[in-house]
Amino acid sequence: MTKNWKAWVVLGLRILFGVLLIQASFDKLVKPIDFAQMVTNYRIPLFLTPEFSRWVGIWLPYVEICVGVFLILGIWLDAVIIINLILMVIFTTLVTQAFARGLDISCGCFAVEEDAPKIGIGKILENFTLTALSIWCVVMVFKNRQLQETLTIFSIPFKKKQI
Amino acid sequence: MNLLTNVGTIVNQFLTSENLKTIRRMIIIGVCTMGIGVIMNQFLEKGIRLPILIKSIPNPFAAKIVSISQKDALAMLNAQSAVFVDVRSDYEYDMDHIDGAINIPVVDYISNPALVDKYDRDKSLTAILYGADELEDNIPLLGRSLLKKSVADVKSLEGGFEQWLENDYPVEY
Repeated sequence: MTKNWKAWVVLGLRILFGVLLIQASFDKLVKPIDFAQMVTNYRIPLFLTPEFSRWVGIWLPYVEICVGVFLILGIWLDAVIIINLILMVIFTTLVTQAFARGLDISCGCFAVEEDAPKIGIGKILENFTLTALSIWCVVMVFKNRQLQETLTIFSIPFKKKQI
Repeated sequence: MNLLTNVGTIVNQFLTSENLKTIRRMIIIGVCTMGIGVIMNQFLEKGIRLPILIKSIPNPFAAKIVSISQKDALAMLNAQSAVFVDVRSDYEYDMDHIDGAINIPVVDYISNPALVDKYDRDKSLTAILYGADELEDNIPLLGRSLLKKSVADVKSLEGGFEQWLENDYPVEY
Protein backbone atom coordinates (compact mmCIF):
# COMPACT_ATOMS: atom_id res chain seq x y z
CA MET A 1 0.00 0.00 0.00
CA THR A 2 2.82 2.37 1.05
CA LYS A 3 4.79 1.47 -2.07
CA ASN A 4 1.75 2.14 -4.21
CA TRP A 5 1.21 5.54 -2.60
CA LYS A 6 4.85 6.52 -3.18
CA ALA A 7 4.69 5.30 -6.75
CA TRP A 8 1.79 7.60 -7.52
CA VAL A 9 3.44 10.61 -5.82
CA VAL A 10 6.64 10.04 -7.81
CA LEU A 11 4.59 9.70 -10.99
CA GLY A 12 2.88 13.03 -10.20
CA LEU A 13 6.23 14.69 -9.59
CA ARG A 14 7.64 13.25 -12.82
CA ILE A 15 4.78 14.79 -14.76
CA LEU A 16 5.22 18.10 -12.89
CA PHE A 17 8.97 18.22 -13.63
CA GLY A 18 8.39 17.07 -17.19
CA VAL A 19 5.85 19.80 -17.92
CA LEU A 20 8.02 22.44 -16.22
CA LEU A 21 11.12 21.45 -18.20
CA ILE A 22 9.28 21.33 -21.53
CA GLN A 23 7.68 24.70 -20.86
CA ALA A 24 11.04 26.14 -19.79
CA SER A 25 12.70 24.99 -23.00
CA PHE A 26 10.30 26.66 -25.49
CA ASP A 27 11.57 30.24 -25.35
CA LYS A 28 15.21 29.13 -25.15
CA LEU A 29 14.81 26.92 -28.22
CA VAL A 30 13.89 29.83 -30.49
CA LYS A 31 16.15 32.45 -28.91
CA PRO A 32 19.46 30.73 -28.14
CA ILE A 33 21.51 33.92 -28.49
CA ASP A 34 19.36 35.80 -25.99
CA PHE A 35 19.45 32.83 -23.64
CA ALA A 36 23.25 32.60 -23.90
CA GLN A 37 23.40 36.29 -22.94
CA MET A 38 21.18 35.61 -19.91
CA VAL A 39 23.54 32.83 -18.84
CA THR A 40 26.49 35.22 -19.18
CA ASN A 41 24.62 37.74 -17.02
CA TYR A 42 25.20 35.48 -14.01
CA ARG A 43 28.81 36.69 -14.26
CA ILE A 44 30.72 33.75 -12.84
CA PRO A 45 34.33 34.16 -13.96
CA LEU A 46 36.07 31.12 -15.48
CA PHE A 47 32.79 29.18 -15.53
CA LEU A 48 29.95 31.07 -17.19
CA THR A 49 32.12 32.95 -19.65
CA PRO A 50 30.47 34.29 -22.85
CA GLU A 51 32.13 31.43 -24.77
CA PHE A 52 30.84 28.70 -22.47
CA SER A 53 27.42 30.39 -22.30
CA ARG A 54 27.00 29.99 -26.07
CA TRP A 55 27.45 26.23 -25.67
CA VAL A 56 24.97 26.25 -22.80
CA GLY A 57 22.62 28.27 -25.02
CA ILE A 58 22.50 25.61 -27.71
CA TRP A 59 22.56 22.61 -25.37
CA LEU A 60 20.36 23.26 -22.34
CA PRO A 61 17.00 23.74 -24.16
CA TYR A 62 17.39 20.35 -25.85
CA VAL A 63 18.42 18.66 -22.60
CA GLU A 64 15.37 20.16 -20.90
CA ILE A 65 12.93 19.07 -23.59
CA CYS A 66 14.47 15.58 -23.79
CA VAL A 67 14.49 15.07 -20.01
CA GLY A 68 10.97 16.49 -19.77
CA VAL A 69 9.55 14.12 -22.38
CA PHE A 70 11.46 11.13 -20.99
CA LEU A 71 10.25 11.91 -17.45
CA ILE A 72 6.63 12.00 -18.54
CA LEU A 73 6.88 8.88 -20.68
CA GLY A 74 9.07 7.01 -18.20
CA ILE A 75 11.88 6.34 -20.66
CA TRP A 76 15.33 5.76 -19.10
CA LEU A 77 13.90 6.95 -15.82
CA ASP A 78 17.03 6.15 -13.79
CA ALA A 79 19.13 8.49 -15.97
CA VAL A 80 16.66 11.34 -16.51
CA ILE A 81 15.70 11.56 -12.86
CA ILE A 82 19.38 12.14 -11.98
CA ILE A 83 19.85 14.66 -14.81
CA ASN A 84 16.73 16.44 -13.52
CA LEU A 85 18.27 16.58 -10.03
CA ILE A 86 21.59 17.88 -11.42
CA LEU A 87 19.73 20.60 -13.35
CA MET A 88 17.72 21.63 -10.27
CA VAL A 89 20.85 21.80 -8.10
CA ILE A 90 22.66 23.92 -10.72
CA PHE A 91 19.66 26.28 -11.19
CA THR A 92 19.23 26.70 -7.43
CA THR A 93 22.93 27.38 -6.89
CA LEU A 94 23.04 29.95 -9.69
CA VAL A 95 19.89 31.77 -8.60
CA THR A 96 20.92 31.82 -4.94
CA GLN A 97 24.44 33.10 -5.56
CA ALA A 98 23.12 35.78 -7.96
CA PHE A 99 20.64 36.97 -5.33
CA ALA A 100 23.33 36.90 -2.63
CA ARG A 101 25.62 39.00 -4.82
CA GLY A 102 22.81 41.47 -5.44
CA LEU A 103 22.69 40.94 -9.22
CA ASP A 104 19.58 42.54 -10.70
CA ILE A 105 19.03 39.99 -13.46
CA SER A 106 16.29 37.78 -14.84
CA CYS A 107 16.82 34.11 -14.09
CA GLY A 108 16.16 33.00 -17.68
CA CYS A 109 14.19 30.04 -16.36
CA PHE A 110 11.03 30.28 -18.44
CA ALA A 111 11.42 33.41 -20.56
CA VAL A 112 14.47 35.08 -22.06
CA GLU A 113 13.03 38.55 -22.57
CA GLU A 114 14.65 41.54 -20.91
CA ASP A 115 11.46 42.20 -18.94
CA ALA A 116 11.24 38.64 -17.58
CA PRO A 117 10.74 38.43 -13.80
CA LYS A 118 13.88 39.23 -11.81
CA ILE A 119 15.52 36.92 -9.29
CA GLY A 120 14.03 37.25 -5.81
CA ILE A 121 13.17 35.35 -2.66
CA GLY A 122 10.16 33.77 -4.38
CA LYS A 123 12.31 32.32 -7.18
CA ILE A 124 14.85 30.97 -4.67
CA LEU A 125 12.13 29.29 -2.58
CA GLU A 126 10.64 27.81 -5.76
CA ASN A 127 14.04 26.41 -6.76
CA PHE A 128 14.78 24.97 -3.31
CA THR A 129 11.35 23.30 -3.24
CA LEU A 130 11.87 21.76 -6.68
CA THR A 131 15.36 20.59 -5.69
CA ALA A 132 14.04 18.98 -2.50
CA LEU A 133 11.31 17.22 -4.47
CA SER A 134 13.76 15.97 -7.08
CA ILE A 135 16.06 14.63 -4.34
CA TRP A 136 13.09 12.78 -2.88
CA CYS A 137 12.27 11.35 -6.33
CA VAL A 138 15.85 10.12 -6.83
CA VAL A 139 15.94 8.51 -3.37
CA MET A 140 12.58 6.81 -3.95
CA VAL A 141 13.51 5.51 -7.39
CA PHE A 142 16.98 4.25 -6.47
CA LYS A 143 16.05 2.92 -3.05
CA ASN A 144 13.72 0.49 -4.66
CA ARG A 145 14.45 -0.64 -8.19
CA GLN A 146 11.18 -2.56 -8.15
CA LEU A 147 9.41 0.71 -7.49
CA GLN A 148 11.19 2.12 -10.53
CA GLU A 149 9.71 -0.67 -12.64
CA THR A 150 6.27 0.11 -11.26
CA LEU A 151 6.73 3.75 -12.09
CA THR A 152 7.58 3.25 -15.73
CA ILE A 153 3.95 2.67 -16.53
CA PHE A 154 4.20 4.61 -19.77
CA SER A 155 7.34 2.83 -20.92
CA ILE A 156 6.06 -0.60 -21.81
CA PRO A 157 8.32 -1.00 -24.90
CA PHE A 158 11.32 -0.12 -22.77
CA LYS A 159 10.54 -2.44 -19.91
CA LYS A 160 12.89 -5.35 -19.30
CA LYS A 161 11.72 -8.54 -20.87
CA GLN A 162 10.54 -10.99 -18.26
CA ILE A 163 12.44 -14.25 -18.55
CA MET B 1 46.00 2.17 3.57
CA ASN B 2 42.71 1.31 5.24
CA LEU B 3 41.22 4.49 3.86
CA LEU B 4 42.31 3.56 0.33
CA THR B 5 40.80 0.10 0.74
CA ASN B 6 37.55 1.63 1.96
CA VAL B 7 37.43 4.06 -0.97
CA GLY B 8 38.14 1.18 -3.35
CA THR B 9 35.32 -0.86 -1.81
CA ILE B 10 32.87 2.07 -2.10
CA VAL B 11 33.85 2.66 -5.75
CA ASN B 12 33.45 -1.06 -6.50
CA GLN B 13 30.04 -1.08 -4.84
CA PHE B 14 29.00 1.96 -6.85
CA LEU B 15 30.18 0.58 -10.17
CA THR B 16 27.52 -2.06 -10.41
CA SER B 17 26.17 -2.93 -13.83
CA GLU B 18 22.93 -1.08 -12.97
CA ASN B 19 24.75 2.14 -12.07
CA LEU B 20 27.04 1.88 -15.10
CA LYS B 21 23.95 1.53 -17.28
CA THR B 22 22.52 4.71 -15.72
CA ILE B 23 25.77 6.61 -16.33
CA ARG B 24 25.90 5.34 -19.93
CA ARG B 25 22.33 6.55 -20.51
CA MET B 26 23.16 9.98 -19.03
CA ILE B 27 26.14 10.29 -21.36
CA ILE B 28 24.02 9.26 -24.37
CA ILE B 29 21.37 11.88 -23.50
CA GLY B 30 24.06 14.55 -23.02
CA VAL B 31 25.87 13.82 -26.27
CA CYS B 32 22.73 13.41 -28.38
CA THR B 33 21.09 16.62 -27.12
CA MET B 34 24.33 18.50 -27.78
CA GLY B 35 24.42 17.13 -31.34
CA ILE B 36 20.77 18.00 -31.94
CA GLY B 37 21.38 21.48 -30.49
CA VAL B 38 24.31 22.15 -32.81
CA ILE B 39 22.39 20.93 -35.89
CA MET B 40 19.15 22.78 -35.07
CA ASN B 41 21.02 26.03 -34.47
CA GLN B 42 22.28 25.97 -38.06
CA PHE B 43 18.68 26.19 -39.30
CA LEU B 44 17.11 28.53 -36.74
CA GLU B 45 16.74 32.10 -37.95
CA LYS B 46 18.49 33.42 -34.85
CA GLY B 47 20.61 30.37 -34.10
CA ILE B 48 24.24 30.26 -32.97
CA ARG B 49 26.19 29.21 -36.06
CA LEU B 50 28.92 26.57 -36.17
CA PRO B 51 31.84 28.97 -36.89
CA ILE B 52 30.82 30.95 -33.80
CA LEU B 53 30.61 27.76 -31.73
CA ILE B 54 34.06 26.71 -32.88
CA LYS B 55 35.36 30.13 -31.88
CA SER B 56 33.67 29.60 -28.51
CA ILE B 57 35.91 26.66 -27.64
CA PRO B 58 38.21 27.97 -24.89
CA ASN B 59 41.52 28.98 -26.40
CA PRO B 60 44.17 30.48 -24.10
CA PHE B 61 46.17 31.56 -27.16
CA ALA B 62 43.34 33.62 -28.69
CA ALA B 63 44.19 37.28 -29.26
CA LYS B 64 43.16 39.54 -26.38
CA ILE B 65 41.06 42.59 -27.20
CA VAL B 66 42.37 45.38 -24.99
CA SER B 67 40.22 48.32 -24.01
CA ILE B 68 40.82 51.97 -24.73
CA SER B 69 39.80 54.91 -22.52
CA GLN B 70 37.11 57.33 -23.65
CA LYS B 71 39.64 60.16 -23.74
CA ASP B 72 42.10 58.28 -25.96
CA ALA B 73 39.27 57.15 -28.22
CA LEU B 74 38.12 60.75 -28.65
CA ALA B 75 41.68 61.76 -29.53
CA MET B 76 41.78 59.03 -32.18
CA LEU B 77 38.40 60.11 -33.52
CA ASN B 78 39.62 63.69 -33.86
CA ALA B 79 42.84 62.54 -35.53
CA GLN B 80 40.80 60.25 -37.80
CA SER B 81 43.14 57.40 -36.92
CA ALA B 82 40.44 54.92 -35.88
CA VAL B 83 37.29 53.34 -37.25
CA PHE B 84 34.45 53.09 -34.74
CA VAL B 85 32.29 49.98 -34.91
CA ASP B 86 28.92 50.09 -33.18
CA VAL B 87 27.95 46.55 -32.14
CA ARG B 88 24.46 47.44 -30.89
CA SER B 89 21.32 46.60 -32.86
CA ASP B 90 20.63 48.52 -36.07
CA TYR B 91 17.62 50.11 -34.32
CA GLU B 92 19.84 51.54 -31.56
CA TYR B 93 22.46 52.58 -34.12
CA ASP B 94 19.85 54.46 -36.16
CA MET B 95 18.84 56.50 -33.09
CA ASP B 96 22.34 57.77 -32.37
CA HIS B 97 25.95 56.61 -32.64
CA ILE B 98 29.50 57.88 -32.46
CA ASP B 99 30.36 60.24 -35.26
CA GLY B 100 31.31 58.23 -38.38
CA ALA B 101 30.81 54.81 -36.77
CA ILE B 102 29.73 51.82 -38.84
CA ASN B 103 27.24 49.29 -37.52
CA ILE B 104 27.89 45.55 -37.19
CA PRO B 105 25.25 44.26 -34.72
CA VAL B 106 27.06 41.55 -32.81
CA VAL B 107 23.86 39.59 -32.09
CA ASP B 108 23.17 39.40 -35.83
CA TYR B 109 26.81 38.47 -36.42
CA ILE B 110 26.41 35.37 -34.20
CA SER B 111 23.67 34.04 -36.50
CA ASN B 112 25.36 35.37 -39.64
CA PRO B 113 29.18 35.38 -39.38
CA ALA B 114 29.43 36.76 -42.94
CA LEU B 115 28.36 40.13 -41.49
CA VAL B 116 32.00 40.77 -40.64
CA ASP B 117 32.51 41.50 -44.35
CA LYS B 118 30.44 44.63 -43.79
CA TYR B 119 33.67 46.15 -42.47
CA ASP B 120 34.77 48.12 -45.51
CA ARG B 121 37.08 50.73 -43.99
CA ASP B 122 40.85 51.20 -44.12
CA LYS B 123 42.28 48.09 -42.45
CA SER B 124 45.49 49.83 -41.43
CA LEU B 125 43.49 51.93 -38.95
CA THR B 126 42.61 50.78 -35.44
CA ALA B 127 39.04 49.52 -35.09
CA ILE B 128 37.35 50.58 -31.84
CA LEU B 129 34.34 48.46 -30.96
CA TYR B 130 31.68 49.68 -28.59
CA GLY B 131 28.35 48.47 -27.22
CA ALA B 132 25.74 50.17 -25.07
CA ASP B 133 27.91 49.79 -21.98
CA GLU B 134 30.98 47.92 -20.85
CA LEU B 135 28.95 44.74 -20.30
CA GLU B 136 28.87 43.85 -23.99
CA ASP B 137 30.34 40.36 -23.72
CA ASN B 138 30.49 39.53 -27.42
CA ILE B 139 32.95 42.26 -28.41
CA PRO B 140 36.02 39.95 -28.19
CA LEU B 141 34.31 37.47 -30.55
CA LEU B 142 33.74 40.11 -33.24
CA GLY B 143 37.08 41.74 -32.48
CA ARG B 144 39.03 38.56 -33.14
CA SER B 145 37.13 38.08 -36.41
CA LEU B 146 38.15 41.57 -37.50
CA LEU B 147 41.78 40.79 -36.63
CA LYS B 148 41.51 37.71 -38.84
CA LYS B 149 40.21 39.97 -41.60
CA SER B 150 43.59 41.78 -41.47
CA VAL B 151 42.43 44.78 -39.45
CA ALA B 152 45.67 46.11 -37.92
CA ASP B 153 44.44 46.58 -34.34
CA VAL B 154 41.15 46.16 -32.52
CA LYS B 155 40.21 47.70 -29.20
CA SER B 156 37.04 47.95 -27.14
CA LEU B 157 35.76 51.24 -25.77
CA GLU B 158 35.76 51.46 -21.97
CA GLY B 159 32.31 52.34 -20.63
CA GLY B 160 30.66 51.96 -24.03
CA PHE B 161 28.27 54.39 -25.68
CA GLU B 162 26.46 55.34 -22.46
CA GLN B 163 29.69 56.74 -21.03
CA TRP B 164 30.39 58.47 -24.36
CA LEU B 165 27.01 60.24 -24.13
CA GLU B 166 27.65 61.23 -20.50
CA ASN B 167 30.98 62.76 -21.57
CA ASP B 168 29.11 64.77 -24.19
CA TYR B 169 31.44 63.59 -26.95
CA PRO B 170 30.47 63.90 -30.68
CA VAL B 171 27.42 61.92 -31.68
CA GLU B 172 25.66 61.52 -35.02
CA TYR B 173 21.85 61.24 -35.20
